[in-house]
Amino acid sequence: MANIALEYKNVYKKFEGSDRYAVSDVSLQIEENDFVTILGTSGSGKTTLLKMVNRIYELTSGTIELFGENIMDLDVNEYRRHIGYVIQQGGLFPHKTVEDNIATVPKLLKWDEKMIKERTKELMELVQLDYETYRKRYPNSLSGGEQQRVGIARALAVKPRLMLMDEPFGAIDAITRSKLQQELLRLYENVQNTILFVTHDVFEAILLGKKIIVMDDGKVQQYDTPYNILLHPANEFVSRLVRSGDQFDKLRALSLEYLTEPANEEEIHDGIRIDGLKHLNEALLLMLQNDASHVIVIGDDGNVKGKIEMSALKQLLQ
Amino acid sequence: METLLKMWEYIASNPEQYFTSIWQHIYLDLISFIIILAISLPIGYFAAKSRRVSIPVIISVNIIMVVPTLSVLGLLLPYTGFGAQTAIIGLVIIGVPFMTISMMTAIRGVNPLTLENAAAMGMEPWRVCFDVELPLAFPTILNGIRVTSVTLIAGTTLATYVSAGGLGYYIVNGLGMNRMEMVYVGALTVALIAICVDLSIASLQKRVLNKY
Ligand SMILES: Nc1ncnc2c1ncn2[C@@H]1O[C@H](COP(=O)(O)OP(=O)(O)OP(=O)(O)O)[C@@H](O)[C@H]1O
Ligand SMILES: [Mg+2]
Repeated sequence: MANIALEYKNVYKKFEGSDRYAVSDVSLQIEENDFVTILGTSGSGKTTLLKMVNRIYELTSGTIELFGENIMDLDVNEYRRHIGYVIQQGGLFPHKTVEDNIATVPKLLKWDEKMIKERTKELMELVQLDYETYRKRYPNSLSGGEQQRVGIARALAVKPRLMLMDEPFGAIDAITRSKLQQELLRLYENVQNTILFVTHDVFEAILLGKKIIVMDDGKVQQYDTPYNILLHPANEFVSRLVRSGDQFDKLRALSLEYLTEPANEEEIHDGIRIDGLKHLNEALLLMLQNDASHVIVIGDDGNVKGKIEMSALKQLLQ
Repeated sequence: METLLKMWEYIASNPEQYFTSIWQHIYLDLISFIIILAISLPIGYFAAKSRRVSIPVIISVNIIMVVPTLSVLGLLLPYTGFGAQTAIIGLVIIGVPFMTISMMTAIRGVNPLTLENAAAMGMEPWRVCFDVELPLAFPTILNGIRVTSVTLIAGTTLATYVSAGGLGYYIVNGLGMNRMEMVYVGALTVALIAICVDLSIASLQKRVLNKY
């Protein structure tokens, strides 16, 4: 069993002067190296849920544990340095260069200069910003997408134990956003990190999350894999939420493995083949183009992993 | 042309007094300016942070701002007597309100998300203040400094009424003796100093702003 990176235990949050709970009775566990998205409509308590982890908001009752330790028992500045934090915009320091922004936490931890420089270089490469071109630039001279890259590099600087991201791509145009999403996924595969990612975009939540927390009215409605959220919504709210977006987007977000089932010899022989790394939208396209009722999924190693039936896709799209 | 010549002759007749007056003028400005900063920066900072501070601050600022400079000096005279101290106290009273409001505005203008982010990265509160908040407020604070210093330089011409010296001597006495070249010597020098100070702060401001 994987380690528990973060655990909420009966967490409640009521803001001063408000008569309702912004977050109400949340209990959940996030495993180490999981990528978890928090999905919900505006005002559902997503940001509040996130900001309680680094104590920007203090919880009203309940406990939050970080790798088994109650966050209230930790030195707040010390543990915050080991939690990456990326917000939509306004997070970078406008008066510091890209390089100095990225070096913020290493400097707080008193790394020596040479080490900071090497790490900065490495991080900028990781987020695909050319070191020499960008290191002396100021945030206001960067595009929104570049700023978010710097924000991500900065959050990753000291290999944090946990990354908190609050709609980091919310203010970015669709094309750049999609590129950044792909890069974040690639980065996640490379660096392996526990990520808690807030979004109100169903597609983004499905695409990025290995698991999704669906929030409404301060309560967790469902905490499950994208597939189960789509196919087995826990209640009316979840079902309405996931059907609200573009159906084709969902197929685009889901990898083939969710619908892959065992195939017999005959099906393997007759079936059109599809690369196992593709997503469900391409399986659908292939079936439509060839007027087929199933496709055969081929794994990395060239072996057959199974089949995907048109009927399974139809069920998903209902 | 004739006036210029007359001005020059006037200065040449007693250069020592001219330079002493300039020095006195600048000295009065500098001392009062330092005191103003020491009072206004902290008060303005805390006023930006808390309504409990800002409300009384804004009320007192509004009251002080309506009192003309000359009457401030007149009101002080019975208590502090003739001399530099009265001029300095007067100038401080004139300068503090605007500088305080500028400081408050500058601090309020800093994006709260940036500060929240600084804290979220594990900066101690003092570091958030000195490393993020004040540098970001600095260009706007410079605005206040610019206006306040020019106001002070102009206001110091009244120091001569309380026998504190400065370039006001030429203006007040020149008017009294109806010698316009004296008035011009005083007024033009004051204007020159004010312009120099204003331009150098403006260029500093531009340099800071160009960066980010
Ligand atoms: N600082 C605050 N003071 C008072 N109430 C707040 C504060 N922050 C959030 N709330 C309230 O708490 C509730 C949840 O807010 P939260 O910001 O967590 O929502 P969200 O899901 O992140 O929404 P969005 O998608 O709009 O960002 C809302 O009703 C909001 O008005
Ligand atoms: Mg939010």
